[in-house]
Amino acid sequence: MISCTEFIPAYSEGFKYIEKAGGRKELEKFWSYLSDLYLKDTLNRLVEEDGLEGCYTYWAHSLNEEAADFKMILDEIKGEFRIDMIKCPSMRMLNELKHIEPHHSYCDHCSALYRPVIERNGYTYKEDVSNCHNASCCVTISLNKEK
Amino acid sequence: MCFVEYGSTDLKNKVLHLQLFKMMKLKASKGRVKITPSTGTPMAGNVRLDNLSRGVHDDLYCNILILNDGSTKVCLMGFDLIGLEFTTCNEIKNSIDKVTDIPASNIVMWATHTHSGPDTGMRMYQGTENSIKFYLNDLKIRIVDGVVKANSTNEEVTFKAGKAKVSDLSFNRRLVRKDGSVVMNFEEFETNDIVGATGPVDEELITFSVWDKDDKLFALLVNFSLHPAILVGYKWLISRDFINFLDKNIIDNYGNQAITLFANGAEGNINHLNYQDPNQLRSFEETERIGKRMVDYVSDSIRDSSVLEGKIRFISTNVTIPLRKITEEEKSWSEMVLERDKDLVEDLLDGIPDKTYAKMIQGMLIREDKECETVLQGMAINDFAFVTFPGEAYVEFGLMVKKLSRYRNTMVIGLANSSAGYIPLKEAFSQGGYEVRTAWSSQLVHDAGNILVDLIRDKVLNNLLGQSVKIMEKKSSDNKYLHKDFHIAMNMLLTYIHVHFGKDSMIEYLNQFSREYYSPLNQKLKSGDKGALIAYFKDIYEKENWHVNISCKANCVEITQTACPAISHIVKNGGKPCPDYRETYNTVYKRICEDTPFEYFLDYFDDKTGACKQLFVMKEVKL
Repeated sequence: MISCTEFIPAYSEGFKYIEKAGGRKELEKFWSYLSDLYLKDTLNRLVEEDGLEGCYTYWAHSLNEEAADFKMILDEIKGEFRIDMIKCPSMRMLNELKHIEPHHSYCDHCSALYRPVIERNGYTYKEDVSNCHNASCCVTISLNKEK
Repeated sequence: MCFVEYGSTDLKNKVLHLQLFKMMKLKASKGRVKITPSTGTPMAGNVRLDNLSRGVHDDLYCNILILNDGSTKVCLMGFDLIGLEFTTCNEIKNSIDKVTDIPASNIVMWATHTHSGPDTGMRMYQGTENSIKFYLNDLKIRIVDGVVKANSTNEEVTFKAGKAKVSDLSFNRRLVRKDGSVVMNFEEFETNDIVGATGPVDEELITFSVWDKDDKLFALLVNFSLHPAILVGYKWLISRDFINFLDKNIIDNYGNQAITLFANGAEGNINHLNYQDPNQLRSFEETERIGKRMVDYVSDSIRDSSVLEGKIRFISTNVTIPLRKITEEEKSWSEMVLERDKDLVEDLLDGIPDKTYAKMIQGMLIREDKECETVLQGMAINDFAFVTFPGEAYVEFGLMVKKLSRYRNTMVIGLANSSAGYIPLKEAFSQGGYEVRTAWSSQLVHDAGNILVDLIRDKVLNNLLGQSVKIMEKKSSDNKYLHKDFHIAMNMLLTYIHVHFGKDSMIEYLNQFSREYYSPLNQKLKSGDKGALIAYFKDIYEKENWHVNISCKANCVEITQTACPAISHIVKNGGKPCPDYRETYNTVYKRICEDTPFEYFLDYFDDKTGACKQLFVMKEVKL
């Protein structure tokens, strides 16, 4: 059994395996498959039903369970949900594992998974991943305002 | 979906509009109940012996708009009346609560404050109380029925809010003479003796619009601070005042499917009279001029509107405001006036005669309640909000509330849920004027306005803000790392490889992962250290909160489990384990044992539950 606490390195190695087998295109196909399937009844349903509050509900659950170091703000007045990821639990774990090299574009999977769900529901997804190698990033999901 | 019928320039907007319907499902329903009283009903806003209505210029309505986001339902009701007593509101709300799924607390009722409707809130009756009682009893039945009917329908809609600046329709009616004294703009004065008004106006006209699936206006809530007191008994005909023409012109512009709810703002000291214009009329033409002009601003506001998205946030809170104490001076004055004017007929078109004031003061002297019971309400969605005032607040208080609000478009809805009367600025009491004189229409303590602003800030705006803005900040040390849903993602990864590349590839992947990830454990096992093996398994199962039997025998470590934590979680969440899921045991642990004194045996494995027995056997003593 691969314990859920061992999933992150298994995930990273999975990216390597799929990319080696079918190139970047295949890896993106896998992420798209995962986005459709894994997030269908979770994030997608929550956003459909509760809008930005659904984002808050989803990440409040997952980031707490993953023991992330984060600040999350749901500001319905601004029409914005924002996560300041101070220490991403996944990337932190991969960085701490000295004997294993993370997939070279490990952080790309977040955008590949979440962006389609968010945009499909009529919101915009922006990220700042300039410091993601240090397990730190920022994601902002906003209303797509029609004048 | 076919877009052919739309012109190319409209296509983008249409697509955007349809995209909005994919977002959170907001629903609305609407209704309209005619509430015109019968001819002969005493009219409000006038103290006349013969203030009985002679007929109807235009019908009065209660317009109903029910908003629903799937978890919160709010019912808005705008009545073309001068005012609504707290008890009347509660009776209607409780009746609706009993027969619908709308809680009494989520019903917002306000009066538009037309001065050409029945006298439902001023209590300036002259032996005509029974006629009003009859009207109100009938009103309650019709309104509840109207809400029930409206509530039986439901349409998917979008909400929008916007605003426009209005600079030529409203005026502060408290004028300052050159000598510093204050005169009302409906009283007599010399124009060149006036230096200006005591205060500002609220130039904001805010709209909350509801649009149906075809992008047609479904309903409109217009908020602006302006006394509908243009007619004030003109020809003694029932009328909605300027709201009649506002509504008619909105229908002309946006179609007759639209219903319009007009909600007055903090209009306590605001009316339509421009003291510099001596030609202003008291006529239906004037109501038409103002109603039509207001629609221009409504259109500006609709053009300024942006879509509101998010949950409906709502708060309703009961509060009490202290009542003004009748002074000895007021008591003596009222006794004197009643004696002085005993043969005088109470008859005045604008304002209230002394005798009526005196009668009201006498009535207030014997009242038992010391506080005015009322309710404050607020609703927010995205950057739009409204809050309610229970009476006719001075415009300054409305502006204060807007300044305190973080919401871009904040409506202040006056005359809501009760008739608490005028809410003047404290300093107005020393200036004098119509609104500050003690009467049923001016009964609260002098600082009631500030009390209400503080209550609205603390109990309404802060509550809405707490619902609209949520912050969560956590350190990694605050939580235990256990995200069982990773089992589901892992299963999807394995399934993907299995389906797209085959079983051998999945095993190859598991080998690759195990070789990389478990190399430190593999190194430890090379010395034949069973303790390292046991410690590893104890650790992962402990983290999973999962019971297994791990027994250390002379030459082997035996692990038995009645179910696999991963398979259990996958199945519990409606999933199906990947074919050959057992390889996450078989392949992984064989690889861990590679080049070590241990050999791995998966003695049995139930693919449905993951119940299994595993043996890590020292090679030289094979079982």
